[in-house]
Amino acid sequence: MEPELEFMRRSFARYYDSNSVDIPYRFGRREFGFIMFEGGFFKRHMAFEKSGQLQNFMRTAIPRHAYYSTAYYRRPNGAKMADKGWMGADLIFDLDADHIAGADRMTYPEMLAAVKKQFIKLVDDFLNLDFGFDYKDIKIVFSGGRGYHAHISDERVIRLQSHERREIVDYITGIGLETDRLLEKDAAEVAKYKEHRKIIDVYHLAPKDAGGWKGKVSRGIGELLLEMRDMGEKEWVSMMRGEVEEIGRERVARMSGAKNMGKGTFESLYRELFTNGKYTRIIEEGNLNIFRSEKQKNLFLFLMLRMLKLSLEGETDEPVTSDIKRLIRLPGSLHGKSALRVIKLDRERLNDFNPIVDAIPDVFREREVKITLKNDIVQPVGEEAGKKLYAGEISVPVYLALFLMGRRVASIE
Amino acid sequence: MEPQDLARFPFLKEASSYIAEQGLDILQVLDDFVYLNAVNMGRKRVFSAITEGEIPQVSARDEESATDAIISYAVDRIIVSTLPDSYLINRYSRVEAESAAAYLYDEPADFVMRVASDLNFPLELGDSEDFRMHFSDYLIYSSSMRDAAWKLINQELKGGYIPMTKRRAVRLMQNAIESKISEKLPLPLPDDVKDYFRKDTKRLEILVAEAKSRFSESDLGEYSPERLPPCIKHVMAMAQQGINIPHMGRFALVSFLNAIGMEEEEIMAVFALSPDFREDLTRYQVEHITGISSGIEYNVPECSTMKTNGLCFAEEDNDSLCRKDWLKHPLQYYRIKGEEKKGNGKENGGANKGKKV
Repeated sequence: MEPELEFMRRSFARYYDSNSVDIPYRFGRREFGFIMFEGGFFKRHMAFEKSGQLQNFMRTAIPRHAYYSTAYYRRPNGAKMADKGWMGADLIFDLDADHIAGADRMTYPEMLAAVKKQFIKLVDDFLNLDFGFDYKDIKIVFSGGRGYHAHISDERVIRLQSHERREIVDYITGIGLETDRLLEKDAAEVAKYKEHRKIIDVYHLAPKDAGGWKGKVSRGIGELLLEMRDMGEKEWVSMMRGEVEEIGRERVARMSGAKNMGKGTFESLYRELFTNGKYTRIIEEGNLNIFRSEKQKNLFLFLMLRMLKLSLEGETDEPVTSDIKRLIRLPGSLHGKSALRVIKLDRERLNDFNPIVDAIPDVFREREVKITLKNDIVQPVGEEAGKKLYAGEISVPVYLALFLMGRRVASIE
Repeated sequence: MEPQDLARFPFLKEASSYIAEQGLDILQVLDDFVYLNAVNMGRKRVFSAITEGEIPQVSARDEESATDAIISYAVDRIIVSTLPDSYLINRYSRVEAESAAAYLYDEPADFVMRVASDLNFPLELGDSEDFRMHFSDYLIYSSSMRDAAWKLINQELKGGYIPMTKRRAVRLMQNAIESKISEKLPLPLPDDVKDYFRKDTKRLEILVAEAKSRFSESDLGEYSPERLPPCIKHVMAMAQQGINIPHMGRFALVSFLNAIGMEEEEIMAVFALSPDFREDLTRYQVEHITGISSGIEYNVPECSTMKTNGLCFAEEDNDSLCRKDWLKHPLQYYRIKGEEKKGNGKENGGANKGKKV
């Protein structure tokens, strides 16, 4: 074995000597899988009857990565998936740095902070508010790597099949939203002009406490209008025109039915809304009957919904949620590439949780070790994260050495 | 529930207990001229379901006629079971369920709740609307509904529940009723019962054969590339340019070409134009998806799945047919384009609206 792997394995052994892994709910029904240090092979289809056996396995086999199945099986140790007898699976949400725009330009701590922010939105706005899960039933886990997981073992959801779970993902990520259903229709109004009569559908925003995306949009439009009110006319007009350019004029025309979307159109829209103060009627009454023309209204709504949708939609990894036979990291074990602890949290603890410090196991803080850094880097974990480290031989705490070796940027004699 | 009510919902547990309480068993019913009327009603029920697509109106004025109506339901299940054919069972169950739903729409909320509880259908009384349902149950019972109006994201989900009008609640219940009706079919039958209905079985056989042949005539016709929907055109173009196609795209393309009747070799030929064509690999995939090797012939993914996987090009191509909100499936597109070509389709598709794929 390479000396780095050997060092990691010895350190992991010390960790598992004094730490236990968390025993998952209904753990006798779960399949376990491990990636070993030796040869890096994947040991799957294991099951444990007693928690002591699992703890003992961790202490003696010292795996590099430890996973358990989100599914419950009649025979979790069946060698083929078809033999196992699927009984249900926890509903899992996984959010990591891949879902964060611009994550590749962020440092590790910045990236984790951005993921946490998105994750809190997922838990609060979607899992709790819309899907109605109590915070105590949402098990939150820091993955030890680049993100967070939420596990839900509610009886009503563990039976859901893959295509049903995909609907949940679509709900969260905003796929298939029919924007015309977001508004509520009043009784039709009859417009009279000389001899002609025309029936016009009159729409208003749903009440702010409405459920689903309807409510989200009604609340969001209110907030967005308040932000817009504080902009000057010039800034607002150029922002709206920028939005049109980004989507493409032709497409805006096709989808909103509007023809005019030049400077003048937006200037008059701004005056109508903000200079004349009509935006308050939208916020207070949900009234959309304040525009000069249908086309102007449709243009405004189309652009507002475009801007809002991005800020309202959540993120979660589709394949993880819709996979009903997946293996996921075992809380209490170590992540084999970061040597950080996979930690079970709750919603309250999540607020102040700082993974780059709080996920460091105590046994890796006790001493320092000499390593050779391949390049200059910014220290990714620990209290001194952000500090510049230079290529060459340095002495660092064990946790940092492990993290850097796991990422293959440091070597050890 | 009164027998008069059970007559309209004879599939309920309560209806079978009622019959059991009367001490009736089916052999006795068939032999007893007192029940001749019920038996004939049962015949009418089946044949009307197959030929007209509806169940004759049940008029249960008194307990006696209600009992007859309930028995007629037991009889029609037996007649259906004499011909084990999945087309027959599906059509019959769908029509029975639609008929029950039509009655339910007119019932008050508490009655709907009683039917729901007999069926173990997880409906609850609601506050903002008549009813509500937990989203997990909703997902299970709405999974066959294709219209975007049923998609979870378009529901007013709050605190785990979806508020629902009676109309929507009953529509979902119809799905539960349909599976309840088809669940045990065909029933195992003793030979003398089969003999009793031999003539009916013959007649059913002919009707089912006719219906099936009508079905295949309206089939997909000859292959023509200009009928392909934008999604399939795009994936096909990618295949031919050797651009790496995501798994779902490859799957959609192969299952689509298979569904419109292309032979395995013809499908292979589509991929063969690609510069990095690997015959063994492609053949393996084609055989798997078309069911030659897997034994399972996979269905072509519907529009919503294509959208979810970023394979829908309706908007980019500005395709007017794709934008119709009733267009749910790539094969539907292909079929309608075929009818347009024949010159008997309407551009607005109104005539094709209800078409099943």
